[in-house]
Amino acid sequence: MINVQNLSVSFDGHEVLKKITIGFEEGLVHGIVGLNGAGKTTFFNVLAKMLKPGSGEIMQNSRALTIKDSAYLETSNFFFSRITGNEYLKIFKQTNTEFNLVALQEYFKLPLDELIENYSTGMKKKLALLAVLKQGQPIFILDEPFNGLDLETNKILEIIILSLKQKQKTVFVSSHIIDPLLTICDKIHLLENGCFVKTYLQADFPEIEADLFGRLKAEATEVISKAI
Amino acid sequence: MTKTLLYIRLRQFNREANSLGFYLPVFIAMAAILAFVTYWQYKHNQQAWLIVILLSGICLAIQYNRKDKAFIYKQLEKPHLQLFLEYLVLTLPFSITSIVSKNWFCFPLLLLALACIPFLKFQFKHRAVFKNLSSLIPASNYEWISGLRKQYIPFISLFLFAVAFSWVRIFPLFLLWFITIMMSSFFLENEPVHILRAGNKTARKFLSDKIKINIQYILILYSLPVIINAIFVQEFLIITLLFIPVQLALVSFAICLKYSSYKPNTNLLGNNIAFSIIAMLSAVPYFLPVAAIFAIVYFFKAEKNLKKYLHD
Repeated sequence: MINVQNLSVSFDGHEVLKKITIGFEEGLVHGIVGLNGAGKTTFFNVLAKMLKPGSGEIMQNSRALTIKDSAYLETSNFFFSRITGNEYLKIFKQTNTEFNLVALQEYFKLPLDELIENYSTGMKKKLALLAVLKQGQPIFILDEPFNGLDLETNKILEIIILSLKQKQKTVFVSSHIIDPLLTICDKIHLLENGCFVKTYLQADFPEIEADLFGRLKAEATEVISKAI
Repeated sequence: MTKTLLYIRLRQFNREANSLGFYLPVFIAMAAILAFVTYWQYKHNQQAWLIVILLSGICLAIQYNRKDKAFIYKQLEKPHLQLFLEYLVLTLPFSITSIVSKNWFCFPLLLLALACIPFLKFQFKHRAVFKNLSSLIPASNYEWISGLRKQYIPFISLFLFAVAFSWVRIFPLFLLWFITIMMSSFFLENEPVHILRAGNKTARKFLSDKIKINIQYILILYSLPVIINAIFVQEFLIITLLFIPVQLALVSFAICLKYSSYKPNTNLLGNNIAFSIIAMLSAVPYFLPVAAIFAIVYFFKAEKNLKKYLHD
């Protein structure tokens, strides 16, 4: 079990995460949804140890989570200038013994001998994903992994996430597009104004859209119809 | 629009200037000295028009490499005028003084060159040269791979010249010193945190390993010209012998300086000036230990800063 206890994060006096306490079962795919500014990326940054929380802690089976426990695919992918895809992948030690680049390349089709700065957004995302998969951490944090990917790669990513689950990995995934989450997640957690307000089991997934966008839809429909 | 753009540039300049910290007065002093030197050249040198070529070349290089070209040409009104004004403001301190000299024609000549540059809209797409570089240099030394790809022509040329003239007094050492300065520019780009964490090292181990590998590269690279120089130029043996430790200290300082102000995914162009000042000081006999002292001081600063990213 991954237990988050009283986790708070503030930026310039503004509390982004507010004393979050929640438990995540291991070996499952957890979807994190919320409107813009809800605190999804901040939560992931704390989970991946990129950001120190103001207070609170994250424990995995009664020990504090460490940097080595998680692999993190960020929303925006940054690399180092003038290095090729191959060189980028070589930077990371292969701790996942089953990782087979040749087999994955059948589907990813990345020009690994080319400089990364010449890649498209989707290609950069795929490269970053390969680096994440090369490492065999028990926790995978994927922030908006479907952004910028073509339809085919979206489907492949879904297959990858389900394969990670089969290998007993814990996956955290966020997305602005709800549909892929409904297919791959075991549980979806709704984050609102820095607090987890609801957890949905698979049977409750149809409610998510109404909960997430219900109020927004009602307000926006009226305003927009007058504005355009 | 023109006023807005110049205001934005002024704010960007202010931001960069602030990032220089206590190096700012030195930077201003160097710029003032450079402005005075160009004035003196305009006044006394018949070949002062070479300064116009140099300034135009710098602006051309900026135009060639800048990443905001597509935005400027697409979004701004009168983009050519905007770019011209930017280059004019940049070169003004080093060109306006020509008006009151016998080389008065240099200023209109520069204006003409600067007016042409914005019409060169080439978009540069980098190509991967030396695709197998990682078989020679491990990918974990990505700064070298990236740096060599960016600067392989001057880097290799300077090195070959240094070897070719290694029997000459001082000159090869000067070329190698220039290579060291070039090498320091490999450490102006901040990698993302996941690259930093790839080796699973503590801050101290990360820094010492990085310094060690760079010291090895310098020793391998410089040993041939320096040994030949030491054999042929016996009367300057002490300078030749002191040269290597100073270069090792300089590169160590460049690494520590980078990581002392490391922030993921950013560039540290301000560090270039700080490094150049220390590099120049280290060429003055009484200031030889400066690089080593700064390397040690900045090692601890870098370790402290890296702990934020590498430690639980």
